[in-house]
Amino acid sequence: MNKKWASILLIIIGSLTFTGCKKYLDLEPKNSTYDQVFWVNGSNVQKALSGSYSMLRSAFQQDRSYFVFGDIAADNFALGGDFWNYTSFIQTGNFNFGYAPYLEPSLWNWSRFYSVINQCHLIIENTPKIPSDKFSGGEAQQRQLEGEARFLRAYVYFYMQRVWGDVILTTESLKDPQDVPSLPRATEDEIFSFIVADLEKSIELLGSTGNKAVANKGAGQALLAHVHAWNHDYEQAEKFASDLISSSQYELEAIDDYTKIWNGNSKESIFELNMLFDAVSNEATAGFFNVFLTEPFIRNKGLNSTWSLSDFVTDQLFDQEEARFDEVVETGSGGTRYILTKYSGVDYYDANNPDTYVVSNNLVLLRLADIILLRAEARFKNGDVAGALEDLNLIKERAGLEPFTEQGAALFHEIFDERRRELIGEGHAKFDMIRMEQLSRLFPDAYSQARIAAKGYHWPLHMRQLLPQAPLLTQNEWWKSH
Amino acid sequence: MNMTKCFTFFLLLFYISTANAQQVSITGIVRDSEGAIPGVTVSEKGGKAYPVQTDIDGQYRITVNNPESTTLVFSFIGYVKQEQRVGSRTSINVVLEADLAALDEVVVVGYQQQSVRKTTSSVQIVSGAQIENLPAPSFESLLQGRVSGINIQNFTGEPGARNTFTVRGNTTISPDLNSEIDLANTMSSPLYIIDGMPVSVNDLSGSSATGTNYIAGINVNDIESIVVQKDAAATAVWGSRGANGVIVIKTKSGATGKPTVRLSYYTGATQRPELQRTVAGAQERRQKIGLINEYGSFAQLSNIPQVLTDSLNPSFNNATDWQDLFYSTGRVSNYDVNIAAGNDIINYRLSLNYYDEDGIVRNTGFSRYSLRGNFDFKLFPAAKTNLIVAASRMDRKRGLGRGVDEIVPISATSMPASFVRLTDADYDFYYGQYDKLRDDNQTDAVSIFSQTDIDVYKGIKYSLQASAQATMDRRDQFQPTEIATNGTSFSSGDRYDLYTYNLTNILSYGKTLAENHTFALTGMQSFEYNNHKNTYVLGYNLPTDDIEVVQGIAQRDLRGYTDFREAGLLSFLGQLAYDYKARYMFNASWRADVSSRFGKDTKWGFFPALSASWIASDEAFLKDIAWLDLLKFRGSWGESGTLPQDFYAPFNVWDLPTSTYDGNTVATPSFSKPLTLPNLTWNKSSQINLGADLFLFDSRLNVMVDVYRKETKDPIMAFDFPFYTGYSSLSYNVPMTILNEGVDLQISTRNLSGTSVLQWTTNLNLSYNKNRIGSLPNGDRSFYADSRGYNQQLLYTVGSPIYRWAQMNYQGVYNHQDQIPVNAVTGNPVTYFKGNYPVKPGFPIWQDVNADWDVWSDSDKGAADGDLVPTGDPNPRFTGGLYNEFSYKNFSLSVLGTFTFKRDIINTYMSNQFNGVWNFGGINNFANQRLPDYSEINYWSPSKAQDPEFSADFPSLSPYGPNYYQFLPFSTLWNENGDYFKIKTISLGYRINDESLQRLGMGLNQVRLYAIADNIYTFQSSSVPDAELVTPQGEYSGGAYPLPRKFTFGVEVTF
Repeated sequence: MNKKWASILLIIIGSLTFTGCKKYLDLEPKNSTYDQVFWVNGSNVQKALSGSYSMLRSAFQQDRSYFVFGDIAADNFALGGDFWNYTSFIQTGNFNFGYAPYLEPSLWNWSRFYSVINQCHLIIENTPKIPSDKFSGGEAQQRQLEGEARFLRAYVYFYMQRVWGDVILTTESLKDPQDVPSLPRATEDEIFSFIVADLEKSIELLGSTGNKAVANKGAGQALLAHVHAWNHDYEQAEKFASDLISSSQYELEAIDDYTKIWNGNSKESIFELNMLFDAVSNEATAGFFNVFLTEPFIRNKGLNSTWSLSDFVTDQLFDQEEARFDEVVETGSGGTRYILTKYSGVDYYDANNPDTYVVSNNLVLLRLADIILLRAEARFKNGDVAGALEDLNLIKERAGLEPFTEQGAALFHEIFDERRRELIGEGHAKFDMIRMEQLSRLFPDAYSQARIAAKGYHWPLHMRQLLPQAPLLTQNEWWKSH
Repeated sequence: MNMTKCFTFFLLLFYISTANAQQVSITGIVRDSEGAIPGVTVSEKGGKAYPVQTDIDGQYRITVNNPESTTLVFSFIGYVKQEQRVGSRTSINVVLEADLAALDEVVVVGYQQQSVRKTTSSVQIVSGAQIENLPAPSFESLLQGRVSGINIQNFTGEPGARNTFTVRGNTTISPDLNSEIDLANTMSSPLYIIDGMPVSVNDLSGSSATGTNYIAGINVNDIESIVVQKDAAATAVWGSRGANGVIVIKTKSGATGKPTVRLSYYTGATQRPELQRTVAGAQERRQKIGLINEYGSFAQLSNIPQVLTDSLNPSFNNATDWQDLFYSTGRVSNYDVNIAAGNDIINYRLSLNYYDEDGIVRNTGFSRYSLRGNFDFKLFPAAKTNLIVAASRMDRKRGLGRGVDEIVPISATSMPASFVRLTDADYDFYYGQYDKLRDDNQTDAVSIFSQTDIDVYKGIKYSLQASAQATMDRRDQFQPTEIATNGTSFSSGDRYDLYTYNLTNILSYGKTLAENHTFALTGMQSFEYNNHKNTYVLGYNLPTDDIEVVQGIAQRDLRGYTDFREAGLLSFLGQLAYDYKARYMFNASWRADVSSRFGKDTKWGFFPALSASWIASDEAFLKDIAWLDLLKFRGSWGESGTLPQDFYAPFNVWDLPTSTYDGNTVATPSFSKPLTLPNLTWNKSSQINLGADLFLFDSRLNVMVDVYRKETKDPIMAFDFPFYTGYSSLSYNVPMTILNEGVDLQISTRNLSGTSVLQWTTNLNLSYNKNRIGSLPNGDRSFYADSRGYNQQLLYTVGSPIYRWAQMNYQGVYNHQDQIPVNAVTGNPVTYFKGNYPVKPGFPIWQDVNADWDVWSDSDKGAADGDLVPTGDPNPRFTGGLYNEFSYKNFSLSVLGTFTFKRDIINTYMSNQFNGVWNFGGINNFANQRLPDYSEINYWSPSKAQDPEFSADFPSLSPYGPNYYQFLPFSTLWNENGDYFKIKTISLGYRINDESLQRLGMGLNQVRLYAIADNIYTFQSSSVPDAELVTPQGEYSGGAYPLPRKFTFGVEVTF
């Protein structure tokens, strides 16, 4: 073959391959967005923020851990037969949180909450770097988004701290995955000053929007009141509770409208997680609130798959006739036990599938009645008995109960009992018992002085899962030997 | 396909081309040093005459047209091919010399061709003839037991599914076995080079709607040869993707001469193997009542479920073995037609194939249509080109279309008791699950390959390879309301389009200097582009069951997405082969790859390899030893790599799920794809190989042995990441090493002398591989992972193999109270399950490893190990095969046995059945569920234990408790020895002799009849039905698709 032709052919083919391939060696995904291109405008920040709410919602829903931590562990409910593996968490199981078959990933593992925290870190760090004109709502929206993220970060840390005790505190997002610092648990002081700083900043940044499914200024104030109360700094607690109450942004619902509280955006609600049904978005689920319900609310559902109110709650806690009880308690399937109907927005939305339903209610995390009772507690602790009685009786009045008049320890116990009645099935009772130091009074057998001293009211951590990733982590004192 | 039509077409072709001319007959005898040789092929060079074979006396007769210019070729396996110019002779006798025939075979190493004699690396050749006509959809499973150094385990018998195929040990750690759909992906798999086109089954299986094995698109009978390349000298030239071995497949090409038509057909039955032994009917009832009587208290005995007591009730007095309901006998058939012909300018081979296999589970099966054309063109004297076009369609029926452990509609571990009556409606429901479901799985593959070679100048050669492969993979499903357990009908369509383009420039130069120094230099540059597209739609609640596609569905019930991914790979290679006097060989290669799948500044990878060999037997001091044919030593070192399956591995992508919060779109960092690093780069394996080849006694005893050490470094995998970062795992080049060390041994013998009428050859392949983790990140800290199904823990620790289990140690049964240890300090007996179960007689003995007087798998007091100890290893140490072939006159018989030794398996099936009945069931489950046969188990019971000498082999089986998951496989109770030896294939053939064919006329040249039995019998010690049918992680779940037994009968005709 002719040499010249051969070399021409060679050159042509060679150059074709070389020019063609360069652009195929630096390829970027077309099927997803990624870190380097994400933080560019307000719309993306909004999506990320929705992501954090959504992750928090899933975190609470997992194994219904929100209610396990708040209500089951406070013995508010009796467990149907299907919940055999929850039985050690109630009084008859001596509140033995160290035995949680199949529930270890949710009840002993806090990792999912750290995902929310990391997401908040990212938002807080990146939002101020984006020019304000990239936000459709301008600087106000920019401030609002950062404020929500700060609120949420504080909320999650505070929640974790109450469930598992001292957390590992990360204050910023991960910068270099290959140089992750080994962190031990932080001290209580560090954690709380971080939470308080976040919340104070969020109160500055947040506006007073009407939508309760996202954080606003009132949510910041309410949470700050709770944080201070938890630390028994009742003066600060009273201050922030009063700030919120006097802001007149929120009103108690009338007793006839009591169940509206859980139907979304009520006057009384301060902050809630959206789980309402609508035809497009699939935010409502069946498998969360349905645990409280039987027939006739949900077809073919019996007490076996239900948490009904515990005997103590129906017989002793609700010891007087009241309108509130009638609003949110019914007899369950079979008529033998009482069930809670705060979350009874059952919707059989699909005509084709008679068994497909969702429970369309919101999970209310903070509401006015809670803050009023918290202020009653704070006022009592601050020596303002009259103020405490005033707040307490505001709630009693709405419930259709006689005003309370006693003082001293009886008043304090009554404030506690009223909280337990008012907020039953809302994930508060266990934390109230810890904060108001009621555990050894109520459950002297399970909560010995030694257990209280070792903070045995916190939940154990899943060391097999967590320790390999965080060698400095320690198990909670009580669960090292129980 | 209408086979008759095809057949007629080829016959027509054949008759057109057989117009005759003047002929001269040439006769003679073919001998070797010891006597006449039957079966020698005598053909005309250039190929105008029909080739003939010598008869039993070594005589032949061949008819040629133009004797003056004819050259005859005498060839026979094991002998040097000989050519004789005919000239004016009419009688030609020849003496053939025995030869190390295999050594003249040519293997392609990278982009160079080398003879086996001169190669410096560890390669093994399987000729297409060895696996021809065996009843399997794809060739890889047929290599089982035929090649050393590879481990093939069929963990599913589902036709068209992929099984594990690892070369020299597993290097893959699957980060999450429970999310893995295709278990074959949990083990490393080799790179396939099919007619010059690299095919990564990893890439393909990651982009598949049907899950059908891509390799099954190749007709087994089209394969000319399979070369298994194991050591780094061979794999490093494939650089980026060669780390787990390279399998080079060459398909048959055209022949020169008149058209040869070959028809081949076989058909046969597929049969289900033995199922788990069970008891049924009255026997089951007796067993159950017996057990209740043994353990029940008076009160308990007054309340026995009706299903047990009411034996006269027609609803309860049946005897159904539920396992059997869903199995059937199937049929397997294969049709092959091919034609080959050519002259000096062009030659070709065309082949058509139809393969059809019914599964042994209802409504499963696999069928393939394939078409292949190989064309060679001579352009100029100095240039030639070829074209290979292949197209195939695969259809796979997937039964229920669910996961690998759910091939029957009722969970294998909780089948109803045998006495439950099945109504017609029940049958309709169960069979309807298969029959009323629409599940079309169709894969179309087209590939075109062309290579042009030009002799440029004095030994310089330029080649251009160009190829395109397209795979269209599509799954359409429809489930009507009536068979949906939740009453929701659905329909979906899932389509993947995969394209791969390759362009390769090769420049090579060969030269011999001063007679003794031979060089071959090759430079190569290539570019590969992959493009994967996917479209998926799914709709729930179809308007009516008459509509089987996604139409008319409410917005709410509609899901859909598309996907697009692309990747590029640019490669450069330099290869040098040098030998001195064909006795000292030295090879070197250096390859550079740039892949788009890595970080911006870390795309380049370099893969060097060095190898050398020495033919000692050619040295003067050994040359005179008559019985020593060949003694060769080989050594090699090299590096090769793997590409991540993820095309965008270095990007931290965000998830934008369809769910919302408060109506707003949600974005979160992707948690399904772990956090990653922008500097991801190649993970490399370096391998050292030392080998020797020894051929003795005229090649009657050949031994090839290789010792290797393969070190895989920095694999890209998802690794646990500190939770407080918000991410659960980080995918990066984990600074760890995985070691595979082993020995490959191959011994082949011709057991009888060349003159014997009976010929017997034996081939033994033996592979020993030891897999272990060499180092781990974070200061070699061990870690646990979940096994598939969360049955037991997997422990990764330095020195342990991948996928080793960690379990509590089961040490028998506490027969009597006095055997139970008591804590001297507290006075309490040892407890199980975190203090909740004080041990009583009848309990299993679990070893209290941490001596805390409680035994449990995750005691959670800061010591993560609790009472777990490292136990079973599911990686086989020894695998291999023993192949014997006999030929006597026109008969041939071959027997292949395959084996696996030193492997632990775990019978999770048995465990789950016991667990389902005794741990979770209570008395009603006990009555209503099928029981495994426990009649021959010496279990503990209170009455037996009254004998102080009594010693139980199995814990208490009380249906009344206590239940603390004692039957779950987190203890070693269910571990078994996974050794097996399987008589895999027996095939018997008969060749009809030429004389009778000639009497028959019709132009028949050769007719062969054969019968094959496949998967015949397994010798094993374990209690599972088939010790091979376990997952790559060693578990037998009971739900897997059994390995069928096949019997076929076939005929092969050549014109």
